[in-house]
Amino acid sequence: MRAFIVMLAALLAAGTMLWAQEGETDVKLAEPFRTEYSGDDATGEHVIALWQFNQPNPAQDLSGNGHDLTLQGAEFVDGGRFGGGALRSFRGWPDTDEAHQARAQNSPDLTPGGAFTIEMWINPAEELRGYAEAFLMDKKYVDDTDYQLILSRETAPDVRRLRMNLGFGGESQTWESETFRVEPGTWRHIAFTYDGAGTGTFFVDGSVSGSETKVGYGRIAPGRHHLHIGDRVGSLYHGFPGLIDQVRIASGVLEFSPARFELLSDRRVFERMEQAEPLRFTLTNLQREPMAGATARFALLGGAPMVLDLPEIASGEQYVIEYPFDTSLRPDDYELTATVELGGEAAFRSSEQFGLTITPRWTENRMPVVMWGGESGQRDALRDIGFTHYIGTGCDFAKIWEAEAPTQAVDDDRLPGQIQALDEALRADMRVVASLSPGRWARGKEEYARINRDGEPYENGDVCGLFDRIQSFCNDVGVSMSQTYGSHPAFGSALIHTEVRGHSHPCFHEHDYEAFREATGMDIPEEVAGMRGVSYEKLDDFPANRVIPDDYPLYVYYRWLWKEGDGWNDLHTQVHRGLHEHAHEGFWTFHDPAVRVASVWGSGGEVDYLSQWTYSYPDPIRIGLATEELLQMASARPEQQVMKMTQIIWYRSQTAPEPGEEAQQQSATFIDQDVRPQGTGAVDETGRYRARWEMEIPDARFITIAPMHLREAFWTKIARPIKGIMYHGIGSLLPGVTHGSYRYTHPETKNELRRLCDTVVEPLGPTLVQVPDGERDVAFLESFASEMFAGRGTYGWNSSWAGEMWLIAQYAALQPRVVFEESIQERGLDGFRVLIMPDCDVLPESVVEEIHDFQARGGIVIGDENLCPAITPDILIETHTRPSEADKARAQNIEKALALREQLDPHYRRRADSSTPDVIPFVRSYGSTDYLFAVNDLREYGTYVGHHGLVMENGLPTDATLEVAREGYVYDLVGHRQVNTGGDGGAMSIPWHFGPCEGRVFMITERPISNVAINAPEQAAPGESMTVEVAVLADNGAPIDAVVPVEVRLLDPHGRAAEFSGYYGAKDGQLSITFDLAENDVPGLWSIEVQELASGLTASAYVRVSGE
Amino acid sequence: MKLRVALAVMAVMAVVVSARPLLAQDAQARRMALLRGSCPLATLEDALDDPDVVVARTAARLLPARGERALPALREALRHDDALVRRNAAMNLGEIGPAALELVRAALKDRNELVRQGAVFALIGMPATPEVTELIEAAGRDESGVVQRAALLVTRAAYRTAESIRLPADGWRFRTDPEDVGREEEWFATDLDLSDWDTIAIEQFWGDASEAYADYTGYAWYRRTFELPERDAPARAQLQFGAVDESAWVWINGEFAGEHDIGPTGWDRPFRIDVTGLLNWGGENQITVRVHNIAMAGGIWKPVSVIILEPSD
Repeated sequence: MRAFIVMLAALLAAGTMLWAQEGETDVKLAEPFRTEYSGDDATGEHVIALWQFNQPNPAQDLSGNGHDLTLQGAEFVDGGRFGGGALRSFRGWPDTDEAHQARAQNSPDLTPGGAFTIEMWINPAEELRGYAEAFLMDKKYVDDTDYQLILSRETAPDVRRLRMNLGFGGESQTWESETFRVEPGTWRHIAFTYDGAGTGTFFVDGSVSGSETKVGYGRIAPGRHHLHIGDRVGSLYHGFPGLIDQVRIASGVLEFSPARFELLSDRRVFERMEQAEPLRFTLTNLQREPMAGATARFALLGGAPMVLDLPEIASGEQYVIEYPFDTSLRPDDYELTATVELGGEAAFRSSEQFGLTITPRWTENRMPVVMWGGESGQRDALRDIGFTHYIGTGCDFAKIWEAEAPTQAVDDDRLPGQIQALDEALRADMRVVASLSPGRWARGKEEYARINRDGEPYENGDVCGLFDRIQSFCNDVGVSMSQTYGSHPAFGSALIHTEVRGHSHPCFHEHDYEAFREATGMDIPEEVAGMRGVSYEKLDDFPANRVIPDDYPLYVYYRWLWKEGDGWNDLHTQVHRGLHEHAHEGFWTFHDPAVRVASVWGSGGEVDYLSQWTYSYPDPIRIGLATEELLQMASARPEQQVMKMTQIIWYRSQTAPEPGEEAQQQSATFIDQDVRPQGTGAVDETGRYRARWEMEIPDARFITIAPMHLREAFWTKIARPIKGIMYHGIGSLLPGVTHGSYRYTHPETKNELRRLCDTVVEPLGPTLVQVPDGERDVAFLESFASEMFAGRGTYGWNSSWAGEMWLIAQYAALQPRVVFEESIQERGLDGFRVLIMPDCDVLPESVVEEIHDFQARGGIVIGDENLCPAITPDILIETHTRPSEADKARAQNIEKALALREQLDPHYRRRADSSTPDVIPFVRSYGSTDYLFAVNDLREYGTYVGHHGLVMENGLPTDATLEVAREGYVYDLVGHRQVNTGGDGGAMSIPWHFGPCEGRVFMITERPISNVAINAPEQAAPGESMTVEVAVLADNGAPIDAVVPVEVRLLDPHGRAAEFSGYYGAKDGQLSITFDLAENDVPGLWSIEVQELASGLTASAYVRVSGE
Repeated sequence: MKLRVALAVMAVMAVVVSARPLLAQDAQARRMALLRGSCPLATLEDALDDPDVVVARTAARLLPARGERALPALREALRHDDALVRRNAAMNLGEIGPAALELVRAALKDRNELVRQGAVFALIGMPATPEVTELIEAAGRDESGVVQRAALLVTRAAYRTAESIRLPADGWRFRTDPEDVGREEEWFATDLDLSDWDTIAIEQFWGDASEAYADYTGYAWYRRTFELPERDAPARAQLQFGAVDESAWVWINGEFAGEHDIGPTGWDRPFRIDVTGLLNWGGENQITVRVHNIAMAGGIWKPVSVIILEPSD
């Protein structure tokens, strides 16, 4: 049926616009059930049977299909709904177990083949009151066939519900309506539609009264019973005491609502106080005649309704109505009831409900915990572990490429699903990360490929980022995404161009030559080879002392290439800028793996956060090196920060490889299965011990990180000034997640992560993200020149000799800051007292000069035998090849660390030290307060992978004494208590028993915490904002000079926590929180409970919220 | 001397600000005293006897800047028990010039390879006299790969590449040596019977070249003969290996030429070995490479070339 939308100009209610747009839709009009059916409504092809019980032949099936009735205990009477006859039935058991029914002979067409509709008018007699279930129609009895419509027993006086039982052959299913009033002497029209595919819907007097879809059900099964109206097929009989009129069975799903609302807006879930677009509804007149004088009413439970007087609406026409959903209401699930009412002769009232949700805003400085991967239906499980973000959306690159301009990020068909997914994330209190790699996608565009000197594209080639078209495309992708999703609060972040630099090569378009000339005034040197430079042994003019001029052409070229020349960093920036053009304020971008590049600034472009993934084996503390590299990389941009990812997966080959043929199988096809190892393993028939998971999944290629490794890596990275943490490998974290090769082999890892989130990330995260890095006086140089000319570099992998040197420094209780040549060239080495130089074969002249000055000032250089001959080290640690056995490797590094300490300690005073190399300290500072982290690295081989000798996966407890070169008061932020200390002469010692792989953070303040004070108003009113101030006070009464973790809970009189209840970091010992009381908040006495999580002190206050 | 040390310590102690329990600060102060520009040569000399090795190393590093006056102290430094004191003294002797050549020569005979390496570094800054050239060439034949590489680089810097002759990738003979007996049995000998040797190609891993060696890890040997064009012997000749996975020992015409053995991390590193004087120009040459691989793929997987070097202008 053709329908169109007309323009309404009137503003019919304050603040509410109505308008219409032209368009066409197919509208199924409502059945004229308030009239006696005739014509096509009585005899149309879709009508299976129709009984109107009128004289002279009340038993006749008026559809013409011959399903005439015979009476058994019921009777035909006058007083029908339309002035004619009706069927009268009676109660049965327990009054008398006799039939009171009209019966139609069983017939195949009384069992509809697919969708169908059953309807009738009913008018109860007084005898219905107090009676139990009453059968209105039954062709099923106790079989799993056909249908059975029952009026349920009373749920309240004169209140019942309808129940439809359908038989599908092997089983039956029940659909129930909402409750409705069934009063003696009052006619009610009831109808049930079934779509033949599991969805059943009830109507009462034209209003939807419940609808449910049962997945997996189709058509009903034909049965052997006759059709009975007014009673049950057999004993125990339960007749309907009252009148029944105009009973019709029809094929198809028919419409009964005289008007229908449809919510056009895709959004259903909102963040509190969100400036959301008004909800857009259409109201369609489904009647066969115009609807005039009608009223629309929108009401939220408990709230004042919005009422609109509607103008005349023609049959089949639609109108658009905007409803401004009030997101200032308190966080909750809401039901918005939309009602259309029509008075007069054709009076009706039709209501529909729409579920809406308001979620609380996040507290300030919440630390993100990102699952780098799709949620795969595991969103709630991830949320329960403590994750705040997951990757869950993207865009249609081809669509944007073809548009050559910002456009909707996905096509119309996909958009509602994407919005719904964001809504669901918001409902789950999570945020969605978009994974956007338009540059990678553009690799498929051959005309934009990177080319070699001969003009040929490289094998496994890459896109040339210097093409304007590629740059603008990346910006278009960012803008498109932000225009499409940017206002949605759950659109939280975007991962930009993950893992793209590996395919990059020097490129030789004319514009590449020109760009290099423009940037440097030089031509691209002839000797340029791959991205990782040219061995100095191949270069004729290479200086013998391996000191190159700063303008050495190859050095200049490679620096340019990595920083800007291959275009990737600018491509990241383009996407980032596009995203921020329209995204909401809290949105952020990140790039990874940001340090899988040479050691020059610029990786990631302008993204908000740099990240990098790290495998924890063989030594979890090694993750600190990549974290420090990220911090150095980000230091080039003051606004850029760092997050750090740990891989949940472990390469089988690096942790528990199988020998010989079995190793081959590990890279072959595998059977997808999960394992839930119980206990330990066993010795197999060959005499080898094998872990349980090895026996159950011998072909596993990626396994789950051991929980203690996860713990130690967590503490190592969170000790550093990072702003969020990430994990990748959901298939190895959660059971039941199908992934190509990630296997769930350790069930305790997820529980460990949950514990860490519960006890550290949530309570302490808001504090830790506000505590900056401390002053560092040890530098760890990663030399770009040595990477380009001597093949050095960690490239973010933490491996190579530099990785071992890093471990040695850790075991020597040093806290080095990674520096690049650039940072030395720009900032010098002021403030550093020790410079560690692993693999620094080649250095630029300016850096050598700085190092000479550094040494002249008393700085100590720690080098190796590969160190550039122009530098004379004060301490030399000879390189070694790391043994594959994890225990030997660790022992070797500790031995060198102890030797280093012996030489270094007379010349260098640490800010913090440990009595054992097994416990590694790290200090950050805020004001006069230090935050001392310590991680226990003492480990042994376990039974999970340890029997292979490559990884010691189990921790051991350790007693250690931490020493700090200051005085003060020490608080255990995990245990929330003050700690006794020893020592004198300006230093303190903290004896501590560390659990296996355990970390700890101590807050060391100048003055003791003595009190927690709350300043809050005595009274407040719903709808008002209320500011609560919290101060953590020192013994002198002043706020303490620290960022102190604090838990604040604002509880209503029912004990429900209000929005913004949660964990905070009280900067400078002070906190100010503005609570926006909602109009529908509960009045009465509210309580404010505060606990500072350093010493555990608590305080409380009360606020009287007015209102009834 | 001991008296002077004691006086110096006392002087330094006078500037100590306060006690610091976390370190033995007097050593730090003694070292800082050496770094002052006004520090007398005698203090530097005395500091070589400092019980703290870092103080002694600092002195050894600073002494060469004092010129020939410091030679006696540097001679003492080269006898120090601490190898890094000796190395620090040796590697900066170039600052003094030819007058220090005698000490360099002595350092090149040090028992510790890192000291010998430092001595080679000292030659970098010295004029390329025949004596210096001779010392560099001798260092190129040092038993230590560390010293060889240092000498090679010093040599390399004085020359330019005149020509590069790439050896054929195919036609190499190959034999695994799981028991590591090849060296003892002289598998590098020119007249070795190769009847039970396989034929294999380089510029790929041995497992890729032949399925028979797909799973092999351990020692293996490559041999080949090759012709070189008639020409005058070049100033220098080097063998350039693109990469050998993981370590390599090289013989030319039965003579050991050098090694590349820095462990597993050397698998993808290019390296050169000096073969000046070992090659037969205008005739047949024989190359033998012993390879050791401890994990995954192995072999000579990148090209091998003879590099002809001529002095730079």
